[in-house]
Parts: sequence; structure tokens; C-alpha cells
Amino acid sequence: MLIFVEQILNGLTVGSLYALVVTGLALTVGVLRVVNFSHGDLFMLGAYIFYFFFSALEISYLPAAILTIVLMGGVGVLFERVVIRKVVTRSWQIQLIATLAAATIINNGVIVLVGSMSKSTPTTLNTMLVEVGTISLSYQRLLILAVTGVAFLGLHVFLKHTRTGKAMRAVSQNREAAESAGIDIAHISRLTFLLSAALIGLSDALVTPVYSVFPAMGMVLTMKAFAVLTVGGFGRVNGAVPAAFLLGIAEAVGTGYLSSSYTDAFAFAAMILVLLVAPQGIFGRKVGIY
Amino acid sequence: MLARVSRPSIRLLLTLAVIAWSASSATAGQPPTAKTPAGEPIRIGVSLIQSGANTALGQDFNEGTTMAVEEINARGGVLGRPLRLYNVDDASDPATAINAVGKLIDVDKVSAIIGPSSSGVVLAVMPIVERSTVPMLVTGATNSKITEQAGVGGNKWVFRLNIDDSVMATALSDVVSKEVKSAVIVAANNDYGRGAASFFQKRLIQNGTKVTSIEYYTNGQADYRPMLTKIKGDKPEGMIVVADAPDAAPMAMQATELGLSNLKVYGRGTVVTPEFLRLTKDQKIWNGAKEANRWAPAGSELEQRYRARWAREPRVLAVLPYYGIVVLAEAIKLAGSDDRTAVRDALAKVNLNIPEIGPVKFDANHQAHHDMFITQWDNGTVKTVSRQPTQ
Repeated sequence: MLIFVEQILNGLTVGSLYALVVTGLALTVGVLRVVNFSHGDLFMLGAYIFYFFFSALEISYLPAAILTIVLMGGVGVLFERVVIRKVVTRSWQIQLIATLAAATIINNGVIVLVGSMSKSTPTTLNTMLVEVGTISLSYQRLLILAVTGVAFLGLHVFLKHTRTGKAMRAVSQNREAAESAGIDIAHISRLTFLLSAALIGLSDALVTPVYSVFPAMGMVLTMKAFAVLTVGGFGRVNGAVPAAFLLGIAEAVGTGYLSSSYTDAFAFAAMILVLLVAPQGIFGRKVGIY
Repeated sequence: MLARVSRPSIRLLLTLAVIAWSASSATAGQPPTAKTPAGEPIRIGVSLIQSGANTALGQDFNEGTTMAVEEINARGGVLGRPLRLYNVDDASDPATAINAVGKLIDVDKVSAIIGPSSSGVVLAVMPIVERSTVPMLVTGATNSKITEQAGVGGNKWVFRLNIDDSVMATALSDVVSKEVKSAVIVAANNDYGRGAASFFQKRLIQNGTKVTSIEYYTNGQADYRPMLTKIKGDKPEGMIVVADAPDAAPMAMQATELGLSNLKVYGRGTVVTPEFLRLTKDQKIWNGAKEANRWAPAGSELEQRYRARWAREPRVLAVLPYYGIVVLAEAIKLAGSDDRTAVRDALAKVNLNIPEIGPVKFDANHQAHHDMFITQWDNGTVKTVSRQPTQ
């Protein structure tokens, strides 16, 4: 029984990673209707940025994390300006090719600049353990869960109760109507990517110490993010987040009771099932990101 | 857009580009050598992992082959001609490798190929080199099928320098069986991992040791906790890890975090290597773990030269390709030419004794039988527990 509980806790940790990453994707898909295949590689870029600040420059954890988030926000704005703005009004095929090209450039750019050896960024919280019976959990993982919770609370407040958040939701529901209501689409566009990239930066700062940093880390994540997004309702943040946690738990429990060979298959099996049975997502049909 | 830029500017840009390109190709490549041999270069193709999930292995491979070629060329080359490497990216993926090796054969017109590193990729590429009659020397992949399919009665163009898992996994299983009564096997979900796992399982059961389960993980998978939690529930005494350092290190850190420190660890990859310690940053993690490998850094002279060239310690996945080039050079010398068939015939006749790894002579299945090393982590130092011949 305790093993089951431990697997649930494992699932929540990886679910937090998925949730933070997918939210960014849900925002860009929901608000701008743009499909970004370099999302996972931005996560990889953020991991290397965090490694640079935390391990290479040896800045302590909190400032390194903040620097990573801020710099990733900048990367998001830059990305919007250079890649997305040209293709946001074009067809999905063009968007696919443009963002896939960006992904390849980022991926191979990192390999050329930094080399392909993997790096690790453990924090002191990694080895400080909390033990309850036979279950042990590192403080870093507790931090991941806590900060993710706070981040989503903040996102909720932002989207529901602030002017800009409401503007974002308006654009996601009906772009033309929002424009005629006086909302600055270009500004919202920049802000969406800034927020999306900042969330990725946050997930990097939280999660990279637990794993390791290597160039291929983004590839499967992009695919899984899209799978989760499909399950939760394409372009909906409040569908994507629970779907992400559900997937994390399913993967953990499935690995525990079936086999680790099937871990990656869960996300895609769920996606296929949802597309067959309830293509609008498992949380029902609703317009807009939140 | 081009119409708006004036013609003289384009011409200027192109001229600058051509100058920059010729300047870079003139200075790129090897450091200055003492005696650069003249003559038409002898072309050797290298299939490297430069993208995808295992790029760290490609960097090692490249360093090994590059250093070997530099040293050989500094001593006058082979047959008075310099060796020249042609690198391609196989991405550790069979489909990509088939195209990459095709380029080496048809476009670069190499005399011999060294690599690929991944077992699954080698198996995919073997028919190609047979069809195109190009000799290929494998220096890292450990699936036993490669030898089973090569040499007499099979593919006569493929040779393997490194010993494979039919030898290493079996030998390590005997060590495991003497020390624990039950074990779990954790392996990469590819030909390398699955091949080794099957040998471990067979031998362990033969020895009467209980195998609690075989867990496969994906290369580059970041989270091992669910798998490790399951292992924790099964309570084996030992854990066999068929993994390279970039995967083994996060696995080890997460295992320690989960409280799995009483498990005896046995590696069959690159677990007991400085690279592993560099990633875990804690010598207490998996201290005492043993590993069966194809080479160990036993205070060698190669290590000093490698450090001088690349500013870090040599790794087994760099050392094997290094000796691969040495063996290829010897074959070309014996053949007296760089003709593909002559080189292939000469490889079958190579009979070297390399102090670092042992005897190199290819048997009827084109497999060499150099020594096997068992290493162990001893508080941050790699200790060589034993070195045994495998003939």
C-alpha cells in the first residue's frame, strides 16, 4: 500500500513538470492559435540557462532561479518577435515547419555551443530527505510541488481577476471581437509568449536539479505536451493542468505495476483514446483558455 | 527580398563568404604536426552520434579517433600518406545511419568505416557494407548478434574490436551470483540493453540466483523514481545496471534519494567511470559498485597523452575507437594499399598486442578477444579489481 502512495507522490512530481510545461503550450495555442513544436526545446534551453547561472557561475539557488525565469521571459519575447509573428496568420503547415525549424536550430545550436556531454545541477535540497515510514522524499521534490501550487494559484488570479488576464482570455475566445473592443493584439501576443517561456523557466529552475541536463531532453517532452493538451482540451489551461497531473500519476503507477518499457506510451495511448472518443478533450467543450 | 539588395552588395557578400570559408578550412582540423605526410589521403569514414539522445557518446568517439589520426599522421602517416577522417552523424538511429553510411561509401569514397556505436544501428548497417563491399570495424557496440552475423557463414565485411556481452555479462553474472542471492536487472530499452539483459538473466538463473524482474528504461528518460519505487517494493539484494553514465547518474541519485542505499550495484556500461562521478558529484553514491568493461584507466601512458590533448580523462568509449584507428592503420599497412578488399583481407590477418587492452586478433567470426576488466568504485577512485584474458 505504501508503495502505491509513493508512486502517487512520484506521479505528482513529474506531473508538476508536465503541468508547468503544458500550461505554456496551452496559452500559446489557446490565445494565439499557433502550434509551437519547439516548446520542448525551449525547456531544454532554459535548463542550460539554469545550469549556466547555477553551476557554471555558481550563483546561489534562488537568484539563479529568478535569473533563469527572467531570461527565459526575454527568450519568449524574442521568440515571438523572430519566429511567431511572421507565421501566426499563416496556415498550420507553415507554423509547423517554422517552429520545427526553430526547434532544430535551438537543439543543434546548444550542441555546437556547449557540447553534448550531459550536465547535472544538484542543489543541497536534493540530498535533504523527509522520511515518513519507508517513504522518503527529498526537499527539492516538496519544493517542486509547493511552488507549482503557488504558481498555478497566481496564474488563476491573473487570468480571472486582472485586466490583462481577462484580455488574454478575450483574445483566446474571439480574436476579432477582442480587437474591435480595443485590445492590443500585438501586446497580448508578446505577453503570452513571455508568460509561456517564464513558466518553462520556472519548471527548469525547479526540476533540473532532480534530473540532468542534456540536449535531447526537450524532444519527447514536446510530443507529450501536445498529447496532454489534446487530452485536456486543445488550448485550454484549466483542462491541461489536471490532464498533466493525471498523466504523471498514470505513468508512475503504470511503471510501478506494469513495466518501465511502457512509460512513454501512456501519454500517446491516452491521446489516441481521447481523439477517438471525446476529441474536444475530457473536460467538455468550452471556448477560451480558462 | 533579393531584388531590393543591390548587385554589388551581393557580390561583395559572396566574395567575403568565399574568403572566410577558405580561411576556415585551411586552419580547421588538427594542431600543427611535426611531420605532415604528403600524398593522397587515405579516407576513413566515421559514423558518430552527433544528435539525438546519446550525443555524449559521440563526443568521446570523436575525440578518440581524432587523436589517433593526429598521432599517426605526426609519425608519417600510413604508407607515407596521411589518414583523413570523414565524420557523419548516425543519430544513434538505424534509418539515419543507413543514409549516413551510404554517404561515406558513395560520396566520400572511404576505404574503411569505423563505428557506429549503438548495437541496433550496427545491425541495421551491416547489410549495407556487405552489399557495397566496404570493411567496417565496430568498436563499442556490445550486442552478441553482431558477431553471430559476421565472419564465416555471414557478413564478411564486418569486424568487431571490442568484446561483447556474451563474454562480459556472463562473467559479471558469476561475480553477482557469488555476492547476492537475488538481483534486479535494469537495462536500456534498445539492442545494447536488451542483449545484455538476456545474457544476465540466463546466467543468473543458471547459477541459481533469483531475478526479481527486468526493468527497461528509455535513453534520456529523466525520471526513474517509479521504476526505482517498484524495485524498492520487490526488495532484491543486488541491482545490475546496463547503462551509460548520462542515464546511470540520475538513476543513482534518485535511487539514493529513495533510500535504496543497501542495494549492491553491478554495472555493465559506464557506471564506474569519472564521467559518472562528475555527474553525481558525490562519491558516496554507489560507492563500492563493480563493473565489467572493455578497458580501465590503470595509470596508463595513453591517459597522459589524452589529458594533454583534450584536457580531461579518457573514457572507455573514446579509447576503443582510438585503438580502432590503430588497428585499421595496421591493416592498411599490411595490405600495402587502401583498396577496400585488400584492407578487409588484411584485417583478418591483423595480430597485435596492445598493452592497454590485450591481444587483438580476429577469429573466424571476425571478433577480437582482448582482455576484460572488472573495476570498482573506491571512494571516488576507479580501482581495477581484475583483468582477465577472454580467449
